[in-house]
Amino acid sequence: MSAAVDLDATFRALADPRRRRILHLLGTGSRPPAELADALGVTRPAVSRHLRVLRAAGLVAEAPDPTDGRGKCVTLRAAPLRAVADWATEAAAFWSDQLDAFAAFSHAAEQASPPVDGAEP
Amino acid sequence: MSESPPQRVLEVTRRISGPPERVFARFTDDVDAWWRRGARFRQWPDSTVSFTHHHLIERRGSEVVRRARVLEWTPPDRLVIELDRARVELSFEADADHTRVTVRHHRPLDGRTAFQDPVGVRWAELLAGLDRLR
Repeated sequence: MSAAVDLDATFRALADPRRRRILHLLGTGSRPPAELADALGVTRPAVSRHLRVLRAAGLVAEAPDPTDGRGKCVTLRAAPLRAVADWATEAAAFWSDQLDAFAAFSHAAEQASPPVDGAEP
Repeated sequence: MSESPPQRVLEVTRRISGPPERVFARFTDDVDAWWRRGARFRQWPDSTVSFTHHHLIERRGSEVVRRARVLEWTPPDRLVIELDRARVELSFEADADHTRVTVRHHRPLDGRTAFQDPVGVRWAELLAGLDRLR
């Protein structure tokens, strides 16, 4: 699991469907904030607030718009997304392995000392 | 990918031989016998692990580390621990002559919106797909 990524901040950022929509749009390429606002049907201040949360989580970055030096372009940053996927994969593998080991142990214990009718072994 | 948020709770279930009373006792009393060895699971290869009233501890000689903190101990139904900053809930439910053991591994949050978004693993696949677009 990545220590450099704040997973809590990532989950908070991804909890809002409009912010997930922004990331989905940025997955096809960088876009200026105005274009994101139009695509979401929200105001520029509203999209700025969402971008602020995404930026704090490291999910997006802003750079000068190559087609308009005065404007800005928003770019997706994938590292936090990768960290979320890694966490889910590693936690699932950890408990799958542990419960498999416990299941084997418990099965062997049951076989070694089967329960007696009407009494706990 | 906008249809659902990523999972904060990961769930793993196994059907275990024996009734909940015995399964819970084996899970806790015999933890050292089944808790896997290796760097992913233990700090030392030759250590022992055991539950105390408040912790899951790992011991090697005079060295002791707390692997987990016990948050709730309700035999034979439920055990809640904090492991690596994550809340982990274990439930033990009777299932014929077996016990269904379910682990719900939460991601720790700031307390305001914690533990609300159980979703499937599909999100991770979607994230991986998005990553490939980069």
